[in-house]
This record gives sequence, C-alpha cells and structure tokens, in this order.
Amino acid sequence: MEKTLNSLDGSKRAKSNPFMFTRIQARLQNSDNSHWTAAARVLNRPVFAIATLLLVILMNAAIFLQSNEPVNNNNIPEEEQLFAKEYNLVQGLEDGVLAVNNDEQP
Amino acid sequence: MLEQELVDRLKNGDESAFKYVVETWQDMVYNTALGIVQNNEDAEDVAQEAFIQAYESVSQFKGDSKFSTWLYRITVSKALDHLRKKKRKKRFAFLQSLFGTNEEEVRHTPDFHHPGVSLENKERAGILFQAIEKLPESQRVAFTLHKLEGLSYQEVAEIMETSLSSIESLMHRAKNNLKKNLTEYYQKIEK
Repeated sequence: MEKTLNSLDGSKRAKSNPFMFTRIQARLQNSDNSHWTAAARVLNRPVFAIATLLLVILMNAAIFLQSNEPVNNNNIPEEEQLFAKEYNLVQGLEDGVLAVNNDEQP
Repeated sequence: MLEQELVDRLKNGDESAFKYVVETWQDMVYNTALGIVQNNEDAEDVAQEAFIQAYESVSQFKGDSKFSTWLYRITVSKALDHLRKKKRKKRFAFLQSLFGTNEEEVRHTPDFHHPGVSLENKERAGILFQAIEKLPESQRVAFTLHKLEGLSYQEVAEIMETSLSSIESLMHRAKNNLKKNLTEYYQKIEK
C-alpha cells in the first residue's frame, strides 16, 4: 500500500497539445460576448430558476392568504351601513357592490 | 521577459505576449488540470478555459503573487468547476434514467492513467488516482499539486491562499484518507 501511495513520486509532467494556442485563439474568436449571451448565461443558471420558482410560490401564497382574510365590517363607512339597513340591503362585501337581500324581499 | 513587462503587455491586449504565456505555461496548466479532472479531453478543455480566463481577467492581477501562482489558482478553480458540472450532469442523468428518458451517456473514465507516470508504477498509480477521486476537494487539490506538480507545501499554500500549517494538516488528512481508501480497495480484491 505504501508503494501505491508513493507511486506518483518522480512522475513527469504530462505534455499538452502543441496546438493549444491556436485552439485558444479559435475559441476566443468564436466566443460571442454580446449582452444577450451574457444575460442568457445568467438566466440559464439553476440558482436563477430556483429563485424564480420560489418567488412565484411566495406570490401565490400571499394572494391565497389575502383572499382568505375575513372581511372587517368596521371598515365599511357608516353611511353605507345605514343606507343598507334602511333599504333592507345586504352588502356584497367581496365585490364592493351592494346587493339586494333576497330573503327579506316579498 | 520580465513578469511585470509581460503583465503590462497582456493588459494592453498584446497577442504575442499571450502566446508567450500559453507556450511557457501550457504543460503546467494542463498537467494540473489533468491531475484534478483525470481525463485527457476534459483537462485540455479546462486548460484552454484557464488561459482564456487569465487573458480576459489579467487586469485583476495585482502582482501580489507570482504570475504562475495566479495561473495555478485559475486552473484549479476551473478544474473544480468542471468536476462540479460533471457531478451535476451525472445526477441529472441518473434522474433521467429513472424516468427512462436518458439518451445522452455521461462519460466516465474509471481507469485513468497519467502519461507522466513510469511504466512500472502505472498500475499502482491508476489505483491511487481512483482513491484520490474520493477525496474532498481541498485535499485532492493539495495532494495533486504536491505529488504531480512537485510543489513544496509552501508553494501549495500560496496557490490555495492559506497557511503552511493548514496545508500540512490538509496533506496529513489526505494521506490518512487515501490509506483508508486503499485498504478498502485491497481488502475487496482479496475477497
């Protein structure tokens, strides 16, 4: 085992491709560094996808929680309440529209 | 060519200076990349990317370290990025295979042989490389730089931007882990 552990001792450097500079030059010439490419690179990152997904989930949760909140009657102006009482109207609170209370209609 | 002069010329976009950089350090960069990624084509790719990165970000080179140290850092960082990407691909391919949609095979070279290793050590070095593959990133980098590039602990410390004592402890842990991995390997063979 000790021999295996020391088997890299005295090893020589691996020789690289002699045409490496030409290949690098070609890559540099072919690389498109426009703003759109840079933007696409950012958009392609998994971090960005996960962040977007989390944002959508959070927005959905916020809207869901907001829509389930009980409506506070105290927020309705007093005049409107009196008006509804006087004409036997029930308030369509969710729509913000006054609706006729059918139960009390003849 | 003086290092400062070379850097100044690179900063001015001098192509002949860049050619000089590539031709001077290409074996060093390639060998380092090869030790970490353990694949010839991948190492070639990493080496090219490292030089491109060096060319594009030479303005960030402050001269606090030697130019070759800076090049080593870029190479190590690119090689580790490459390994992480490969791991992600493997995981994704595994997920795809679960759903039966995996058409692209992810390359894997289990028997890597470094061309610089002597014939008599070839087989043992192959086993050692398999054990190195299981090491944590920092231990893998320190061990590779020290053993394959023949760098001293001080030089490895400069490349990894850490203290000499940290490298000593990193190498100690790397050797212990390698011994453990090799023991497991030889025990499996004996069975």
